[in-house]
Amino acid sequence: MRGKEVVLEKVSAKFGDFTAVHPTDLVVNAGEFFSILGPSGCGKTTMLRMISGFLSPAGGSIRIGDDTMLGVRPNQRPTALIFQNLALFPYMTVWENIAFGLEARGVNKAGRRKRALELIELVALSGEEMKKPDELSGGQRQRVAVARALAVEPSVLLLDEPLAALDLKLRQHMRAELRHIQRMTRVTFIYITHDQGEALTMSDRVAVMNHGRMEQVDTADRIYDHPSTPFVASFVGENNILKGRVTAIENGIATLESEFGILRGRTTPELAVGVDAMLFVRPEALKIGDESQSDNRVAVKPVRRDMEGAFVNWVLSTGERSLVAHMTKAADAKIDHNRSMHVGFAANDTIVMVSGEIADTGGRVHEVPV
Amino acid sequence: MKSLFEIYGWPLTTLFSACVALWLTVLIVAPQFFMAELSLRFEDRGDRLTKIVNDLDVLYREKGTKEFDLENGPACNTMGMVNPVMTNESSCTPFGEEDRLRVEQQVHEIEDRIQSLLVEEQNLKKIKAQQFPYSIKNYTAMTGLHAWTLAKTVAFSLIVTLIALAACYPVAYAVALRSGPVKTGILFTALFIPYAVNELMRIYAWLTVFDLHGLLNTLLAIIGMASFASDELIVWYRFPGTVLVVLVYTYILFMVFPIYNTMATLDPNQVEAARDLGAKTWRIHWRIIIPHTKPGIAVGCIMTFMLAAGSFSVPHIITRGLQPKWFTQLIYDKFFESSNWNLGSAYSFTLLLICILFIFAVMASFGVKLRQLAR
Repeated sequence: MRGKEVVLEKVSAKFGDFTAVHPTDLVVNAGEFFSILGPSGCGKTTMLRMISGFLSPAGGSIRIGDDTMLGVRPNQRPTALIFQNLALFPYMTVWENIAFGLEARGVNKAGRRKRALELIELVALSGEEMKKPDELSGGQRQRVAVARALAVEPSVLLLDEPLAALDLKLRQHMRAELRHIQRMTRVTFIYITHDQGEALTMSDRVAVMNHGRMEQVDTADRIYDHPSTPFVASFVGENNILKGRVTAIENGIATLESEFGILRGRTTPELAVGVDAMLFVRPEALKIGDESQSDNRVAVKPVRRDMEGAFVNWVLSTGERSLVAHMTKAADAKIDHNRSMHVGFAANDTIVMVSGEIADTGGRVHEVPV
Repeated sequence: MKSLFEIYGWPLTTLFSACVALWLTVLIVAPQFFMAELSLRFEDRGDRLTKIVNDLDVLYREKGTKEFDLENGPACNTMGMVNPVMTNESSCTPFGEEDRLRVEQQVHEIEDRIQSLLVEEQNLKKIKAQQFPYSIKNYTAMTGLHAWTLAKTVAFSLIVTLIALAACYPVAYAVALRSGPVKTGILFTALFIPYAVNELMRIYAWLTVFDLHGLLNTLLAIIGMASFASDELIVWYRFPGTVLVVLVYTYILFMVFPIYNTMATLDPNQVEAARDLGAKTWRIHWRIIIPHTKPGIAVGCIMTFMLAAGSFSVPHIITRGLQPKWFTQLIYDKFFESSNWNLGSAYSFTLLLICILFIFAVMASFGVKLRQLAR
């Protein structure tokens, strides 16, 4: 098994008048764990269905390895799809499920069984081969689905939010397991998810999608530290958003005039003097107590303290807005619930972008009412 | 029961329970028990007692006629038939003394015979009352011809079931898995419209097709394979196929709906997954869709078979007496032509037994459990 690269050129998708995917160029490298991250309805599943062949693009072309996929049916593509609900065959045993692709290819029973048992070992399900899917736990079913897809030796494995139905602990465990399987097989994984945690932890690279467009395609670190649009900045990870107007740009630092006074942050290429801008600062970059050393200061009053374990989540009020700060236990101890104070943050820990659409985070961080 | 009380309160619950109890006893248990009891009592139509009862009937009638004649004079002889009702003085001459004596003598003779028969009847009845009344003779008394009819009915019902299954599976598949909501609506409406028409009307409608001057022969005449002028027409009612066609048509919905209902619950992703793994259409049906749809297919087969085997109206109307009878028609004849409810009940139970065996056979061959059928 070796992965192949997947190349999309100006691929688009339409449902009637609705454009689900705008013309998109994308290169997924051979053997890469690639995630497409986006909110529901952003077109990520449509993208996957076009690569798998269940949906024909309205325009553009898809190439896998050296072969164009124009007019090639799903079963003839070197891809295998893992469905969101797994779609295991309930009337077949584990090994029959895994061997189904081989059965369809006319491999004899002995050959099928041998290969199925190999894969059962790969996904650590030895001893479960005679069980039916409904006798397995969620994580085991997950592994059967992976093994079933790998049985046909695909060059590209497409995964449509396969961990969505699992509980948190198991999900985290399966992330590591999927990553491990991907490393072992070197098959190209294209992983669809709306869960940024999954995308960031597992992927070599992540594409963030919104409204049928790729907002940013980059490594997880780059996406987190250097988001290219306000949407990416607000969708991936948590971010405080401070709005203002750009008054100066010098040495890579933009100066904003805002309701909190003068703010300074890293500039981005599109930024110009006079435009409305958003300054994004991560909750973990907010500091208390050493405000004099910071480039930015904002007066706040503590509102709520959420104990999260390793760190403490503070909701701080600026008067009209709220900010969220993640603090270490040590920093947390310094906070007096009843006193106003200042938070500070370094210009280098922020990013300033031209105002744009931000992700609907369902009442997260910057929308917490005061 | 307790939960019923909680949901409906005691007045409604009592009413419901009473209605259910009434329904069970009056409409299910009592008639079945009555029929079962009848079927186990053999009425020998050829025994002495039956003969005596018949003879007594005749003698009482004869005696009544003679006594009427004695009171009103002899019957008028019209068209060679004695008709006491037509008696009137003007056209009938009264008895002479000699005739009167002769008739009186005859009445006495009849009374003597009645008396001796009544004594014999009493004795026979006493003997019969002492005998054990039940036997399975009604079940073993079936003649070879009737057994053959039963076998044919069962065989035909099996064929009907298979045809219906072959016709319904693709339809259910198209409706359940291959069409959007609008198309599904249209297809269902098309399926339903014929069923808004009364069942008898639907069956009679087929007569316009099979009739000697019906649609089929007209079409044949148009292409020159039949002729109205020279009476070279095909008597379609003679072909057993006509009954098959009409039975399939009449009961097909009972096959479509169970299959559709189970098939519609299949996760479309399973079909896509199988296709993605390289399975061809027939393998997807064989390995994915049919295993999932089994309970529906079993229910459809059972319903269609039972309805076909128990159908009276279709063979009765369609064969026009030109084909051997169906077993249901034999049962009808036993009840209402020869007035032998005992044998009729036994025939009914025999058919019921075969249907139950069929249910178990289907469930066993499909590997379906009763619990799954109930869904």
